Amino acid sequence: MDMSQYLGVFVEEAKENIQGLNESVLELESNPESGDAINEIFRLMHTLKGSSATMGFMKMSKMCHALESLLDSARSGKAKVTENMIDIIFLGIDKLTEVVSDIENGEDDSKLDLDDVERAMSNQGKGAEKASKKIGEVEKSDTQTEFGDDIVEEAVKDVAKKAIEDGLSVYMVRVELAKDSVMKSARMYIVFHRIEENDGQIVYSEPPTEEIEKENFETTVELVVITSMKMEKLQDLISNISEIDKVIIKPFETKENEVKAEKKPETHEKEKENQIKKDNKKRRVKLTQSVRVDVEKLDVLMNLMAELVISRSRIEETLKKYKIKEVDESLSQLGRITLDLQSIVMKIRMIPISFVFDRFPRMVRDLSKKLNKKIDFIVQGEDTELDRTVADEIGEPLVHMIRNSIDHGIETEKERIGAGKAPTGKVILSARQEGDSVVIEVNDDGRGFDKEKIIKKALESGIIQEYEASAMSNEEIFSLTFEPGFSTSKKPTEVSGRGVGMDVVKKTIESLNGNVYLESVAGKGTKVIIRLPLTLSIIQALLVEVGSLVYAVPISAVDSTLAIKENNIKDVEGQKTVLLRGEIVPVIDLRLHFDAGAISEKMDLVVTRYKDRKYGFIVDKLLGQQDIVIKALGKLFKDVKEFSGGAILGNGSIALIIDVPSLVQKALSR
Amino acid sequence: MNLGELSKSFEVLGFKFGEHEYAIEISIVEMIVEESQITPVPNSKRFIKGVMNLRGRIVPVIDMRSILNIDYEEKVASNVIVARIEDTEIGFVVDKVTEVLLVDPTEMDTTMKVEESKYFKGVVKKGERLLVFIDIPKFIEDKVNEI
Repeated sequence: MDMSQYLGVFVEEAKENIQGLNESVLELESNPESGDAINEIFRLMHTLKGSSATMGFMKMSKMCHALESLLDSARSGKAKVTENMIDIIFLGIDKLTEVVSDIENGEDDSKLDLDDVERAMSNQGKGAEKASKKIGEVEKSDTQTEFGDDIVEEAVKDVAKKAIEDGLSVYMVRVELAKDSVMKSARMYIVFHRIEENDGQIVYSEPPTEEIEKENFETTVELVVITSMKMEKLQDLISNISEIDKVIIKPFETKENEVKAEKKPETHEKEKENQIKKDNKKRRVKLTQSVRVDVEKLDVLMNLMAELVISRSRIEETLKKYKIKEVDESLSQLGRITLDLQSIVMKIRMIPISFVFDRFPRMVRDLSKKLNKKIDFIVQGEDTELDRTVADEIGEPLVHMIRNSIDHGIETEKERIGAGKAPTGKVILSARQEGDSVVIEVNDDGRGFDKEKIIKKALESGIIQEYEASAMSNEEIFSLTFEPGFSTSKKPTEVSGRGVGMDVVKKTIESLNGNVYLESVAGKGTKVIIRLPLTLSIIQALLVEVGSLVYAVPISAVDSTLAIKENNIKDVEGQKTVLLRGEIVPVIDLRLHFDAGAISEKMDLVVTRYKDRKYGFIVDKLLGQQDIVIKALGKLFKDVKEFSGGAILGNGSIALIIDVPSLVQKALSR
Repeated sequence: MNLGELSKSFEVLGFKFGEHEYAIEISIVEMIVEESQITPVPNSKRFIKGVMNLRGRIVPVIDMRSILNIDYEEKVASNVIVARIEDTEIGFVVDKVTEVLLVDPTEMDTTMKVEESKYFKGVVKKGERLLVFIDIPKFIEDKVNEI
């Protein structure tokens, strides 16, 4: 059979499984007693083994099998999970990662080298002897029952017992759907959702959720629910959903093997294996309905959407001239619909930042081992969503930043104790949404930056001059660390190189229309803050007229606007400024900067904000606010930093989009 | 296109500035449009005239005179040759596009040196007409590297 058409799906799933494995093995490392983690590893390995064998990647399948066997002794409680064991598993996972990327690039799994893992395993001692022997054997068709199945019964009982001890109620719920129900899985989804919404927790489901999702069930579903609700309330809750015929609820008996009685007899044989201590973490049942979509299709959709927005405003503008009343309503309706459509298309493109963050715990672990520093790595806000394009770009800069924190920021254990700090260093990676932007922070409690040292270094490397140094604000001093060729660390290390890095970080982030700052207290720690737009392609902008041309200023950078007169502008040491509510604001005359020809008497001021400071732009006229679609100007305009792109306006003309930070820098350095 | 190894006939697009005729290779030409509104980009390179809206796309427009090193006053209604060079659409403003010409290798003289520009790659002789052949992709490549 030709499996090539499934290759894409296989690679996607394999990547997800490997990511899951990384997480679970990390979990197991920090908590070697965790039965849940072992079970999860088994489940993922098993899936990966099966799917790779199906695709004909036998070496890959063998590797999974070997790793599975390695953990077997730990699962049955015969051996303890050792550090060595974890290392081997990570080694194996890395090999699997490599092979998956080979497969993705059109190769097969022939490059996969089992030797390393095999050798490591045979060195591992008697616990793994059995496993290493198994490596060469070709796995026969896998008739083993899915591991998860039998474990659930025991797990459910344990969890139920614990819940009852905690004063919660546990119910057996039998839901019967109407015979003619057309969307069975959707109905069940509502049932699950209702229960979970009301603080209920579904710890068991027969048939399993995957089957429900595929509509692989008749009309009856049995659930075990832990909740603080009364039985009647639960009954009402579920019965109220349409197309549900009958709901039977009874208390769950922990002593009687109620659930078990319905199971196949062979589960008894496995019982011994299931005597692994369960964690408090309950097995959560997840049920979501989703479709996988090619990102390219989304990009096309986004482009079409952009065209639609442009066409709509063009129609609107054309029709405005004729002032037809009848059209007004349908036009505003069209406006609303496009707006909704636009926000949905954008949402579809959004992915949780965990997509980027997930790989870091593993990286930190490896780094901390290599550098022999103990690190407590905390990830917060991984549910924060951002545009796929932004997410794709932000990974590398974050790698740089986290490496810097661990390599340069966090001190060695000895130094920390000497400084009266906790021996374990702390690095916090967090994300949150703030208005139209996503804020990502990397925060460490390491040695921090010494301002004096930064200045000294910057003077040495010629980034600043002596006379500049004395007048610099804290922020300006810290921003020096992003200059090319700057590095305070005396000896470059293998991990974070020599001074290249932070300037690359800054460049990447600015190319995404974001900005990055650093805050630090010597001896206490460092915080690097990245602010990124939620999406790259459609922004709100203020349109202004300068000369005969229209320019767009992103609303996110605009503080306020006002009309001014020539005599409001004061010359302070060669720099034009205005006084705004007691604040001296430098102004840049865009008419001069853009060489716009004749300068009229009438003018407006757009006050922009950059790095917590205000800068005024003098323009001829304010035209109003509009959604614009950003389009790149291309490589011929690489040197024109003051424009981040162009946008096509309703009348077909082009407005250049002003990049406020670059324009401010360029204009003031003149 | 390597002009040294020409053995087959090939097609060029001819255009004019005043009485002078020029030609570029046809394979890179995507379309020819009337010059419409071109938005200048302040502080960009001299040879760039600005950007234009080509069916919803923003396309840079280059003043062909800067490649030819000629000082010829621009007419009001000119043509824009839209070329695709390394996957980028670029417009070139010319005075007037004339026609597509089939050139026989014997009609192409690459030995003749033209002083004005290093992008002149030879002269096409069509009866009484002389067309200066210009290597546009080379020009763009050089300029992009310069920036």
